[in-house]
Amino acid sequence: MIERETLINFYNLYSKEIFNYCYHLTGVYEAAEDVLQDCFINLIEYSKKNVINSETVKSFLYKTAHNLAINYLKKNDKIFYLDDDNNYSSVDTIAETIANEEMNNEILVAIQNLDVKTRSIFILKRDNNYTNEEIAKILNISERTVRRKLQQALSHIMVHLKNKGFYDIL
Amino acid sequence: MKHINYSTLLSYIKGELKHNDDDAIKLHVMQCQLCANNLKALGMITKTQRQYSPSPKILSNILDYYHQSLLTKSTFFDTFKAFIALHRRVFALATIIIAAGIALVLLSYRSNPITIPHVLYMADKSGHYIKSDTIKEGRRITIPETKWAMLVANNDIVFQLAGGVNMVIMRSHYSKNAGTKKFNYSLEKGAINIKTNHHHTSMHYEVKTPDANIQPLGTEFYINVSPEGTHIYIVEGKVLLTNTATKVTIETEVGKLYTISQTQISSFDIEKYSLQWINDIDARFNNVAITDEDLGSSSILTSDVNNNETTTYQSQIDNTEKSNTQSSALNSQDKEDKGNAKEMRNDMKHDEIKVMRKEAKQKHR
Repeated sequence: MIERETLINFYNLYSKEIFNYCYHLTGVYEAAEDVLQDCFINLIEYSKKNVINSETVKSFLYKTAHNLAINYLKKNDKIFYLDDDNNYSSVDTIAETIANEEMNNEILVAIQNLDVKTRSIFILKRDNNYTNEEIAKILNISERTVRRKLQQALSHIMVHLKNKGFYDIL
Repeated sequence: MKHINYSTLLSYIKGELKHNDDDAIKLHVMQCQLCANNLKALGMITKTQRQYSPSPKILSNILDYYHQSLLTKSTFFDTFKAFIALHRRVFALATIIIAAGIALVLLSYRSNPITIPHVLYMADKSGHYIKSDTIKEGRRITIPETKWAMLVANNDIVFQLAGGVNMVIMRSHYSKNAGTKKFNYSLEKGAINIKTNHHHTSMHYEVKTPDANIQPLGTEFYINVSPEGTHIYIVEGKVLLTNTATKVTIETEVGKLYTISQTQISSFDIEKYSLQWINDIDARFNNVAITDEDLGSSSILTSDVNNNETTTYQSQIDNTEKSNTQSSALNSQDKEDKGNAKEMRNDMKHDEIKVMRKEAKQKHR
């Protein structure tokens, strides 16, 4: 079974990025916390029967988080938005204008309108800075699929912004 | 004006373009409002969102669960499961090897049926029978028009073969696994009488003709295969008769003649001795005795249906010569079976000879 110190070490290393991944995937803070907690409980259970490899533990946690988040979304089949306390404009001086804030919200809406798989790929790419190869390994899909899904996500968001009349974009 | 596509704009945002290309994009965006809008939108879309941290209680919950797991005693079954999981590849390999071994043993056990030879007796000029040799499965027996012969299987099934018979012993073996004896014959031409002394549930035999499939259930009957069809006369017992063309099966009755043609099975109440072909068989076989000591000469042709090997058996003037000629006439395949068949043949010979002699004497009186 995994050592206590090792478990805490893994938590400190990966909990934040996995939490953000879950949060942007589910859009609900409490759901992301539940998924994160279940991820590490699964890791403890897994360590009872298997030897934990520090090289693969990250991939294990992401895969578990992805599956748990998808299960959550299946059970809570609804369109949702990120919590009100999000303040995306605070990290960007341009987004301080009301127009940009609205545009940011529409981008979030467009992301939430993506199917779960595409959304997951998009978030891993954008927020976690994973390469296409790493995403393919985590989600157990081909790199070609990752590239195709990313293009689809981008086109979908741009069309959404155009339909909302933000810009006369391509 | 040609606009810049998304992928180039994304590369520009990430700083992946070469210096010259970078300047060109900058210049274009300053002049083109559409591309400027696209660049701004893409910048916002791909910008890393604000990062959050989970509440500290999550780690506390995880550690609580961890301590509970440590306190929970693992049962023997859990330990065993963990051991299996750790060494699952070794167990999987061992399971495959054991399964393959069992499969090999079963296959070798099942694919070893024992061939049961038939004993062929030829009639000489004086009407006495002389044992020719043992005939194994896969052999064709051809009786010339002027000759006749007797074939005995398993010391139980007696075939009286009239002249002109063309018959193949398709299968004749004992399965150790199933504990059954199976005999299959294909009668292509000619008239024969078949008599079974006993009916055993462990013994199955079938006779196929071009028109019918005949499955006796302990009985005596006559078969005549002619160009007009197959004729069967039942003396005693039962026979399951199937028309090969129509697949219709009937159970026969004693004292009836059944004619099987392409389209139907017809039955007639008829006296046995009003049929000439039955009379011909009876006339030849009823007044004969089986002995190794009788003299005369006759020839019967047997051939291997697979290899087209042919053997002609000649009855000789005296027993010594007969034995020598038979030995030379045997093909190599028959020789292999000769040793196995010897014991069975001796038993069959004595019992069969006694029965046939008794019957012949009674009829003669």
